[in-house]
Amino acid sequence: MSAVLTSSFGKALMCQVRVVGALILREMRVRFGRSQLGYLWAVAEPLAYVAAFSAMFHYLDRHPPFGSSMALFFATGILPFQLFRNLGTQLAGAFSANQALLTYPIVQPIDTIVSRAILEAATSLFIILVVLSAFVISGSAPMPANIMRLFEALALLSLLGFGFGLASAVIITRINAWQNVTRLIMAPMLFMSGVFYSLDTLPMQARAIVVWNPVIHGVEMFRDGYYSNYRADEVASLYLLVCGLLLTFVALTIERTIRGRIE
Amino acid sequence: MISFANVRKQYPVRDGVKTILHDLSVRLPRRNIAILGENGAGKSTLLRLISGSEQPDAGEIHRHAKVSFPLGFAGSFNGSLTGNENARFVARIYGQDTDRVLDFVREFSQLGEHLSMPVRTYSSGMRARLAFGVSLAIDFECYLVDEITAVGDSRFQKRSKAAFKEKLEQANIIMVSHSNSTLRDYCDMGAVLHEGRLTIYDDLKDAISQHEVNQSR
Repeated sequence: MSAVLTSSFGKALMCQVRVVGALILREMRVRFGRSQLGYLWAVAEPLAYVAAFSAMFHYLDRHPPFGSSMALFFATGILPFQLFRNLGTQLAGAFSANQALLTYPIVQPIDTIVSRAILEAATSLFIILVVLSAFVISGSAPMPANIMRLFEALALLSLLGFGFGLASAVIITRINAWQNVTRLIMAPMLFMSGVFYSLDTLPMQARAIVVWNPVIHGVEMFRDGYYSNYRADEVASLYLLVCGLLLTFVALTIERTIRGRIE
Repeated sequence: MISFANVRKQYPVRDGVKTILHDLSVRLPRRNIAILGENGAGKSTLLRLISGSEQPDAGEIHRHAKVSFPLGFAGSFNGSLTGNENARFVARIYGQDTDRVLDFVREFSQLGEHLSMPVRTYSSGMRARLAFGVSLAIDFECYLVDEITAVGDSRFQKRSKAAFKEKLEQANIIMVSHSNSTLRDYCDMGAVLHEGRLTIYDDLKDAISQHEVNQSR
């Protein structure tokens, strides 16, 4: 009996791996097109941010909030931030964008989430690797001080983005207008997440507010991993972890209760 | 064989709910079955329930066969991908050899150069040919066909009929169509969906005459 169970479980798992793989390949084609140029655009976006804001701050004659390089400070902010944002927004639209695929009974709604999550996380990691390597190779930045800390920050931000995106996707199946709520939450996030400042340099009143935003903890953690002497006393990785787990748990619970009725 | 155990399916409509299946318990034998019913009776929903792409509100559906996805006009293809890419995707999710599926689709659909063009440039007839080719390339034991056999010119219709006839030596078909002659071509028994109840007829003729009675009411 247990052998039968394991083999049918194994079969189901194999089937899901196959479906997720096919979805990733399909999604890559749709998103990045047939040429490698598509990937170039994905890298260009955070670089454009870094260039634009560095230039702006330079002409405003402002010092970087930390370190000597304005570009590196922004890059270490925008890169972890876009991992969270891209996961969140892409997953939120996963059900509605792939609705037609559910004609194939073999494709389960959750497969479309899993495949998008893998593709998004991989793309963002690729972008981070390319941009930071460019900094290091060109000699404009040192090697990161603590690589493990970098990965810890990225993993926790991925979890948060996954939870946020999954919860949004599930709610959108019931309440279509939630798409706008998702956008409303995401819009000020860039300014609330410490991309342009470090928590340490904020006035106390402002700090008391933004510290509730879990994303800023991930961003600050990433900088703490990159710079050897970053001041990150207020970073609570546990808070970020709990937020991510809580969102994921709530989303999965709702998904389970309305399963089969995703229309 | 597909069996229904106490299956209920309802849809919310403007004033209340519409019941498509009211506590259905039935075993569909391994035969070629025509599904008849007036517009809006829920024939397409029934096919989606059989395929598993839609879940019943209550009860269970057991499939003791490899059932296809419902073949219909409602496209599941991605418009920005080419015909080949869409076919490759379906082949992959069903664990089929992609080259073999692509060869079959090219041969069967006769779409030629269009196969490397985005599907959004296709006419509805071309889409249907692609859908037909893709599903016939995969070996299902039961094909679910929704109003799609009437596409294309007579040459294509002849070719698809021949291809289906060959498949139907090992497989079965469950078909929705408004054309009685199409149903007679493919099916030997019938099921009539009327006001939330599905009635099985061993002889297709009886199903068609009951359907005509229902319609004239």
